[in-house]
Formats: sequence, C-alpha cells, structure tokens
Amino acid sequence: MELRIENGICGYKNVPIIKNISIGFKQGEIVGILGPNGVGKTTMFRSILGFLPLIKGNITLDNVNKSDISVKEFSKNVAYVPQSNNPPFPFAVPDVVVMGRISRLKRFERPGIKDYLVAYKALEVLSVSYLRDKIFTEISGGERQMVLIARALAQSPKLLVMDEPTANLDLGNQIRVLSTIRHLSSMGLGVLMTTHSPDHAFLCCDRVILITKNKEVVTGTVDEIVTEENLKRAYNVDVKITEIKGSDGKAIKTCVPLI
Amino acid sequence: MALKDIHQSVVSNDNIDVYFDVNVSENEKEKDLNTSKYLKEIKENNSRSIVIGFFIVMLLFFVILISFNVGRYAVSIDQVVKILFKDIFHFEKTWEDVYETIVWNVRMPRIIAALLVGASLSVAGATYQGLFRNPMVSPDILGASAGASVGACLMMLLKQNGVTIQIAAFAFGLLAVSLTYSLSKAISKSADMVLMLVLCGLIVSTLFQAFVSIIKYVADTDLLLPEITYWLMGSIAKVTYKDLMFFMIPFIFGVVPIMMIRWQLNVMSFGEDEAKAMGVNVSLIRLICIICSTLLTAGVVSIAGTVGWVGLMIPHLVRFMVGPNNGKLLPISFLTGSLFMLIVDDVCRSALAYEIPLGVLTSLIGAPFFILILYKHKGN
Repeated sequence: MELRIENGICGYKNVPIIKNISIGFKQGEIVGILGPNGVGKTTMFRSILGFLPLIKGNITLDNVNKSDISVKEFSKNVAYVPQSNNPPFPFAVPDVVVMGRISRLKRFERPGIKDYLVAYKALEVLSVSYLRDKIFTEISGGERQMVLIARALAQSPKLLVMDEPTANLDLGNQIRVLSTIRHLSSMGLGVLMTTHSPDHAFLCCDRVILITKNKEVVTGTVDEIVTEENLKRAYNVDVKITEIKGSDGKAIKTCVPLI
Repeated sequence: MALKDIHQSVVSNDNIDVYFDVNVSENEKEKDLNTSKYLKEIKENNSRSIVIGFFIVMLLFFVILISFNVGRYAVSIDQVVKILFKDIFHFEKTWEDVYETIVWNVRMPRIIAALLVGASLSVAGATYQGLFRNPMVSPDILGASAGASVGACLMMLLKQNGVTIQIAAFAFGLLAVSLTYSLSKAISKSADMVLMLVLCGLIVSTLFQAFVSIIKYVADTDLLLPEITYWLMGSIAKVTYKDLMFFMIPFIFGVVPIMMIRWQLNVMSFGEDEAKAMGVNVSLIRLICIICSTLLTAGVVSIAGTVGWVGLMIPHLVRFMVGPNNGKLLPISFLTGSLFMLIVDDVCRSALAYEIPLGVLTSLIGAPFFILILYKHKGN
C-alpha cells in the first residue's frame, strides 16, 4: 500500500504555503521529513492526513483518489500518531488505546472484549504492558508516546504517519521510540515521520524528504539527502557529517554542528 | 519471535481471531496465560461500573419511595406502596381519597419531573464537557438557558398562559443556540470550531441575559416582576402531567442519540484532528451532541426554569466514581443526576415552612462543591 501526494499545493484558505509537492511512502519503509521551522512542514503534514484540503493536486492511496475514500475507510489503512498531548480527562490507558478500534466498528457499536484484547496486545507488542492499569495523564511523556503508537496499531493500519515522535522525550525514550519504529517497519508497516534531528534520520529512516528554507523539496535515500551541503541549504548552519563504528562494527553516520 | 504474529493480528488483519490461529511462537503457553489474564482484567473493569450502576438504581428506588412521603401532608410509606400498586395487587382501600390525590397528582408528577430534569441536565453537561474538552463547561454554555429565559419572560410579559410560555421558552432556547452555532461557523471556517463555539456562546448568552433584564425592567413591579423572578429561580413545584408529556419529546430525542454515540465522544476529547484520523465523522458527532444537548437544556428550562450547577457538578462527581470514559460516564451521570435532583427537590419542599426555589438550592450546593473540587485539583 502506498500513500502519495501528487503536484500538491498546500496552504490555508487559498493562501499557498508550500507548492509542488510530489512525495509518497509505502509499506515497509521509513520516510523522514526534515526541514526548518516555518517552511510548511506541518501544513504539508496536515494536508497528507486530510485535516486540511489541498489547494491543488491529488492525494492517492494505492492510486485511488483520497476524495473517493471515506474518512473511515482511510483510517483503516492510515493511522496518525500525534505528538504526545494531554487530554483534559484522565482516561485509563486501555480506554485510550481502544479508541483506535473505532474504524473497525459499526456506526453505533461500542468496543467489546475483543477490541480491548487487541488494545492489550498492542501494548504488549510495544513492550509496555505494564501501562495497562495506569492513567494516561499520569504517565511520562515517553510512555504517552508509546500509548499513542499502540492506539495507532489498534487501528490495524498499513501505514503510520507520525508527527515528531521523539519530540520532548529524553535520550532513552527517543531511542526506544526509534527502535520501536524500526521494529514496526520490519513487520511491514510504512512510516512517515517528521523529525528535527538528522541523526534520527540516519538511525532510522530509509528515505528522507528535505524541505530547504527556500521551500525546495528534495527526496532520496538518507545518504543522498542528508549531506553537509543540503543541511546548510536547509538550515543555514554549518555541520560536519562523520562516521563512527557501532559495537557490531557497522558504520553509523552522525551529524555534528560546528559552532 | 512472538512479536511477529501479534503484529499480524494487530496490524494486518481485520479479524483478531487470526491471532489465536497463528501457531508459530515457542512460548505459546505464556501467551495464552497473558491472554486469559487480560480477559480477566477487562471483565473486572466492566463489572465494577455495573455494580456501581446497580447500587445507584437501588438507591434511586429507595429515594423515590421516600419522596412520596416527604412534604406537608405526611403519607406513610406503606400507604404509598398500597396506593401505587392497588390496581396490581388489589389492596383493600384503607386511606382517604385525598391521599390518593396527593400521591398521584401532586407528588408523582413532581418526582418524575425531578428525575427527568436531573438526568437531562447531567447528560447534557457531560456531553458538552466531552465535546468542548473542558470539565468546567455547563449545559448552558451555548446560550440555551439564556435564550429560553427570554422566551419565557417575553410570554409572561405578554400575559400568555403556561403552554405558550413553555413553547416560547423551548423555541428561544433553540434559537439562541442556532445563533451561536451559525455565528461560530461563519467566523471560524477552519477545522477546529470548538473554541469559537464557546466564545460565541458567551456572547449570545450575555445578549439574551440583557434582553431578560430589559423585560424585567419594563415589567409591572407588583404582579409580573415577582412572577418572572420566581420563574427564573427554577422550580418544579407546579409541574403537571401535561408538562411532562411536553417534555418527553425533547427528552427522548435528546437522550437516545447521545447514548448511541457516547463512546465516540471519548475520541472527540483528543481533538478533532485526531478523531478524524481515527475515522470519526467529526462534524456529524459534533452536530448530534449540540442538537441533543440543546433539546435537553431548552426542554428543562421550559418546564422547570433555570436550574444551575447540576450539569456541571454531576459529571464531575461521576468521573470520580467511574472515570472519564463516556461509555460509563453518561449512563451513570443519567442515574446520579436523577438521584441528586430528587433529593434536592425533597429538601426544597420540606426544609422550610415554604418552598425553596430549586435553582437557589442547587447553587447553594454547587458553589461549595466546586471549592472542594478546586481544592482537590490544586495537587496536580
């Protein structure tokens, strides 16, 4: 399954913010979106998910136009993992995860024991079963992120769209979330995620979509795109990209800013 | 690896039965153990709210029985039971006719009114709190009460009879909310109109309250002003079966749809974008919630006047008991609201030698209740 946006112009109320977007991602790959603040990353992101209508262009899911797919049908295939936020009510963790089942239920149906079982399993897949008797608003940011990923998994999607999954997390939780993302992709899920860290792209992404400060969109493999020149073009800062050997002898690239 | 097959069930299949059929894992026994452990926990969670619900229903029956007894005329409980069930069990008539009138024509409609009003306000309040993602929201947030007050006061000013007052109150309540809704729709245009609804509700409420003040200002101070003032304080002392029949329409059309979509309301608490991404028809759910809650609120004001705080207080109280999951919150709020309103009305008619207006007493209880809530919340 592949989600694509073709010749898209994204923006609010006919004011284009970012133009000529032709990007896509499919099952089994992790695609990162890199780019400075204010170039329209969020706008593009919201357009892909259908929160914001495109000014021009098409969004297609397996070559079917998104406007021909109902919201419910779309959500059976594409799940959204927002930045971990705090709802105003202290929902129990299983009640949050089971919300992902809504696209699988009939119009007035409420989740049954089976749906809760799926929710528990989703937590188990992410190795956070211990959260099942906790309150969503009382757990840490990293745990909340995991619960939101579990909620997306309960949706049984083929593609995941993640909004800065590592934002506001400590180092340990960032790495835990990244390795979870890699796990999910190795199982056949496609992941599109925004990130502010080139290092995270190196660690986790197969392909990268880079939006420069002049709103040019360049796409390609991580090694092609995340280069010193491109990062200079995007962020207007000097960086050095270097390689280190991991414990298994495999080379890992990393990006060091030069101040 | 166990992850693999769990993934198959969770990620790539509609049907979770596949999970049980997949036969790969080496630690299958452990997995089955987990599954049965999960099942047990899920069932335990469900049964707790059923027990609470059952307890409240029992309490409700008890208080209903007591309520027939409370008042100027003391009718003993065994007399009440005999009068109520005389046609079924053919009890021998050992009471005076006047008691039968009191039970059937004075207290019965009043008890039913208290139950319906309490349930309506609590359900409307809980719905709005979920929809507006704010536990401090009350049913009159979009202007339903203020609008209904204008309708009622206007008809009293024009010396109309009871039915006309009710219909006008109801119509003006709907009018005020539609004004709020179309205003915020016109202004916001973008995806999330929740904040705009609250702000426009504030504006419309203030506007309609100003109209009430104008009506009070021009009203005859000897007869009309006291009548309007008393009406605004809220009371169900003079409710008749005819009023109740009238109220049943907005009550049923308000409660039933909300109960049917109550679980989807949970998802709305995470914001409209997330709800949409999960496959919820956001604008439909929002519209159903607003229409139904407005029917309930305007309906209540038209038969009972303005009764404040209940719709704010009861969902709070119930959230302490069963948590914020609307699947449980709404039905338990329905029951608890009825129970609360019935007890308050019993106090209204028995505490002093004369009637205490219902709205006054709910406010008297509501204010300290909220100080308590704020005090508790200070911790987090």
